[in-house]
Amino acid sequence: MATETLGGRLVVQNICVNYGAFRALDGVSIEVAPGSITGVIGPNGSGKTTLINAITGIQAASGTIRLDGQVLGRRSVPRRAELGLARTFQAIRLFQSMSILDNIMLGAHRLMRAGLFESVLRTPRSRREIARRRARAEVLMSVFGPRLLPRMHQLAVNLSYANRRRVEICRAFMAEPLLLLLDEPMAGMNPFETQELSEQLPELQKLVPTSILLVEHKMDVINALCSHVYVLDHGVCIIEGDPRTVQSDPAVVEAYLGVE
Amino acid sequence: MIIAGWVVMIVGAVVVLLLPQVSSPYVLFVATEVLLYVPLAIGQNLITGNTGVLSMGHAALYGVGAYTTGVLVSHIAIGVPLTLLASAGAAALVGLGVSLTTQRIRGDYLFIVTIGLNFIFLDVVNNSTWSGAATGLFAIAPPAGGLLAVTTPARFFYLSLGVAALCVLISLAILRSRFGRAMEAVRDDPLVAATMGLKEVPIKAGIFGVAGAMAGLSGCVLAYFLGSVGPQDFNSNISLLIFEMVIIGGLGSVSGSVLGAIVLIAVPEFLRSVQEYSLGIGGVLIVVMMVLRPEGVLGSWRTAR
Amino acid sequence: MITFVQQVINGAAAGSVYALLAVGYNMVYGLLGFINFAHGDLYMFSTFIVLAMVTLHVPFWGAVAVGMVAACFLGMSVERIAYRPLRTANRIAPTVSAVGVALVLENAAQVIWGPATRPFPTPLPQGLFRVDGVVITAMQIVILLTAAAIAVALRVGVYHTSWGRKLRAIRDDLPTAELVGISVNRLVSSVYAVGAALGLISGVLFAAYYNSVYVTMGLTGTLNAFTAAVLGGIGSIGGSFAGGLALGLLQSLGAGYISSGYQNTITFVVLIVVLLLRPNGMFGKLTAARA
Repeated sequence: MATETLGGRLVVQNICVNYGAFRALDGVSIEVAPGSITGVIGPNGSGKTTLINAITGIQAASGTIRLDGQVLGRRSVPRRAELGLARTFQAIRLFQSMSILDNIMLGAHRLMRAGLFESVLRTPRSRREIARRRARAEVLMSVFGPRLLPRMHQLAVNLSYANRRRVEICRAFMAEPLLLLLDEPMAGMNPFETQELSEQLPELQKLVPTSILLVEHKMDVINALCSHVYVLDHGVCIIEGDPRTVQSDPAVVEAYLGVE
Repeated sequence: MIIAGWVVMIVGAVVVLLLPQVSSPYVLFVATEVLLYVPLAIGQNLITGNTGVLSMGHAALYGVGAYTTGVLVSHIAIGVPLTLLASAGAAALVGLGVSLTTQRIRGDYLFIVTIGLNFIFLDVVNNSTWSGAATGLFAIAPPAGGLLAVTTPARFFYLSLGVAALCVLISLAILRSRFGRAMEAVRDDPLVAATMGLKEVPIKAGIFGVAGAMAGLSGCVLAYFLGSVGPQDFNSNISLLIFEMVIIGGLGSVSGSVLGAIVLIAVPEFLRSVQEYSLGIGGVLIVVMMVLRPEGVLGSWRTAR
Repeated sequence: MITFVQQVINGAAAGSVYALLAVGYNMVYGLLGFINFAHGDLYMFSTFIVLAMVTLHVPFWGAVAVGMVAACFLGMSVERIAYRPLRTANRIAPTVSAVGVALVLENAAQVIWGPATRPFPTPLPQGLFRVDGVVITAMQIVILLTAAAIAVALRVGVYHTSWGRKLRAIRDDLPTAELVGISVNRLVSSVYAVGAALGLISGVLFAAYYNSVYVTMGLTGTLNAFTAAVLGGIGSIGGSFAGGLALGLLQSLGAGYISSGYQNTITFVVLIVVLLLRPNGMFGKLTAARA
């Protein structure tokens, strides 16, 4: 698919976020290598979601964020999406009034070339484009076997929790991002579904080459998927490295045990 | 089901097309009036129903269209097609401008601000000489023999039918395209929409432009239909009436908007005894609908903004 | 200079009328984060009731008392019927419902009293004084004194009574207020009653000042009061007075120095500019926007 040189290198340097007097992120620096799945773990309230919000531009932050060398700076949320960022949300946020297919197709909005007039008049070019994207959406859905494909015309509001999560993930991959930020994609899933999803994510990544920043709670998921992981605690990155080394670090054990 | 739908539509179309041949002049007049409101209700529905912007200034856009035609016709020899285009363009520009200047104003505040649009419009036309001030402009007639130079009631009916049908088709086509989904995405969850690269500002401005153009077309036809334009035709009550049509028809539904226009124009006309109470009855309907089924009427407006 | 002083006095009088109407807005907004779009129509309707009583030869103060009771009753019923069921619905639903209420009131007034502007006979003093060429009417003095008295009374009511304490508790945190046993429904009801009563006072002063009552004063009242509320900081009771005076002055200076035909345009341009620059009002602090 992607014959161009693999992009999607994220470099975050020294970013800080304050909520009033509370410092949610305090000088965090991370790096996501092109094509990798890089993990971020940490106890509740350690700043993981804030990090994703800062990278996607939802939360103002100081410090520098670069995507393939380009400084994101003060770019707006939609501008960053156009540059190649996509994300999912910890509390799933689908468009409830739309079908599964519509939700997923919206993910491709940034890639569509037919403008308002062409789309409204349904010119051959716009039809071809839609057909191509729709075929792509079906390929992505098929990764989840029979979970989504037969239901693609159902309203999102009627789906089970796990299926809504799957739709959201498809929607994010549909944008063919350079960097995909997944905010606890396994949250609320049972062990079987979690296991399934950790096998499906690399499959999706094979279809849509992208770097992934994976925020997760479940250690075994991180072990299975990530080559590199950062541990946040109280807004500070306390350690980084390969998952197994990091897990046995006393500071990490304490951070987790101290909270739970 | 689908076949039945087509049959109903074809029968309906035949009845509507034959209306001038079979109906009394009065019925034809009312039908034309309804048709003039269809583009207005449809535009309001795009703005409020599908994009989720609370706006109550539609009469001003309507007025911009009517006055554009009025002023053009009284100064230069110009045919109907050009005035249609000019009115649509002028009202679209005003719509765009309104949307762009008020982008940062929050939902319910915007509601009040757009009511102000009616008042600003009236201040301007009441205090200017080009608009004929409080008396308005008269003797607006198309040049004899030109294209679309309609003069008889039946032809006015067909012209407004054409404009209304065009607006219905455009509206349906927009809603069926990916931009329809984009509007709804911005309405339902602007933050998520933004993370997918959907830009709220141009989407809303574009919709105001389209709705403005529709209102402008209606305004142009109205100017010829009445032969005059005056400030009294575009006050805030007209905006309220258009808003009511969309709420009663069901936010987001094109056919509902058409139905709303029929109910609020034709029913009071034919039931003279209730005409006096029509605004109030509409008000009662709005309250009842909101209280009984706020989510049903408002569809998926779940995000509190 | 004389013109300027004259316009300031005229503006302060008109502004005080707006302020009293804006209080009703701001109390509701501060409490529930909701714009009571029908507030102006309620004020119009209850002022018409006073006029109707006066026409029936009810003594003026008796008519005002009847109007006040009617206003409170209307305010509470509207809240009960059209707003309370929607308190937990999304923000849009009560706003739209309020439009419905406004339409009903406007239509009812139109049917009962007709579209014409009606004079408003009052026993309030109508004399005028001249000081160095500046004309001050007795009505202006009555208006300013009434507004000042009500401002003081409200301050006492909100900060020195148990009603005011409960009010502030609800404003700060409605669910907790409910938990500690404050009857939120009753208090909200009382706020609508107080707002409507102040609206009536505002309406009577308006009618006496301009010697006219008319149906569309409802909508323009809504708009002026809302603008005053935004200017003063939406949700803030004290801000209503600052905002009302500021709006009155802007309008009368605009009429005096720019053009009297553009009064509404001036109002709305001010409103838009303020909303763009300071979304929470000129003097407003951040009110916790409740969804």
